Amino acid sequence: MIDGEEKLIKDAIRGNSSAFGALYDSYQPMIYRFVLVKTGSREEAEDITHQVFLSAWQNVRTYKHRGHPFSSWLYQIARNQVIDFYRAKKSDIALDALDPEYFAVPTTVSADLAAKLEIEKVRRAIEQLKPDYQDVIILRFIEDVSLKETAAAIGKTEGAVKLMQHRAMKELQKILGVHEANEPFRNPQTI
Amino acid sequence: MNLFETLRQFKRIRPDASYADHSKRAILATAQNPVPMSPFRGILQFIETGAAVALAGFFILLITGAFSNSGYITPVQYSVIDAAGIHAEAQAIDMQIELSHLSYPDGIATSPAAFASRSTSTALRSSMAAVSPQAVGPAGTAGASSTAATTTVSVDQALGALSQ
Repeated sequence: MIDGEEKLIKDAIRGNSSAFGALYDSYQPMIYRFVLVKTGSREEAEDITHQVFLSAWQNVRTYKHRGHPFSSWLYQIARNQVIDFYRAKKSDIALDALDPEYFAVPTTVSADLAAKLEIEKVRRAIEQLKPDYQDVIILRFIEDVSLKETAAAIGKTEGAVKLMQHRAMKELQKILGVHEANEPFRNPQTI
Repeated sequence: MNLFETLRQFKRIRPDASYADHSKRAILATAQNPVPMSPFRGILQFIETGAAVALAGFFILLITGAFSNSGYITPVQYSVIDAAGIHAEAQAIDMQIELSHLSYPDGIATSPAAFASRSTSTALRSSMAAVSPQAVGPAGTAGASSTAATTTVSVDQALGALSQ
């Protein structure tokens, strides 16, 4: 949660565009990453992220603060937008049939080539997970979102999220061929 | 491969700055959706509006009533109109009209005989003549007979003659 978030939200609800602009600046990168990891396409991630914030701005008056950060609400919108995207896309194209370059990590990542390849490898492994597992991996291990916020974002209980993150990590390690003995699972709660 | 470290590396992914700026401008240029009205809120608004109108009407009646009662506002009177004179004049008008004073315009038949004389049907002419023989005469004299002729023939008699 960013500083003064409640006031920014109240101002945005009253139609203050600069207040919503501040919320956009704070949360847009994480929503973009969330969508990018799930879709694998920069263009699609940009389009969907735009739609997420457009929908948020147009419907911010219906936002009800229920003790969760504003980002939980944005993640919920993003999840729905991605689901809609895949629903529309499924009949058009098979993701595996695409050129690997299509899934290239954006050049804004200033890591070396090996790191880029590693990121892309992990991203493609995440893509093979179930959508709920993808959400948990992204929120808990990439964005370091709390259990409570993750539970609110994906509409599960905290206990269910704990279980899901454990299973998701195991499955991800299995896909990547990483042995648990060599890479012991670390619960981010303890980090 | 340290999976957790690699996952943390994802945080370095950032959207293109020009895209972010363009997207933000486009979003903030659009209008927000109006708040959807719940049925309860709609009923409440209807009651509020109705109460406001009723209250306004009540106060208008109260204010105008108070003014007229206090004598500040009296009905408008014109000096050229003599209300008492008009009333007396209206009372003096004799409204009694007698039927005998009524006169028919020239050319209108006032008796069955005269009507029969104008009719082209011989059957009708004869039947009408049978009904009122004293009234049947030359067509020119029919108009001269008074309305008394009409009083001698009842409708039943005329219909009976026609059926024969």
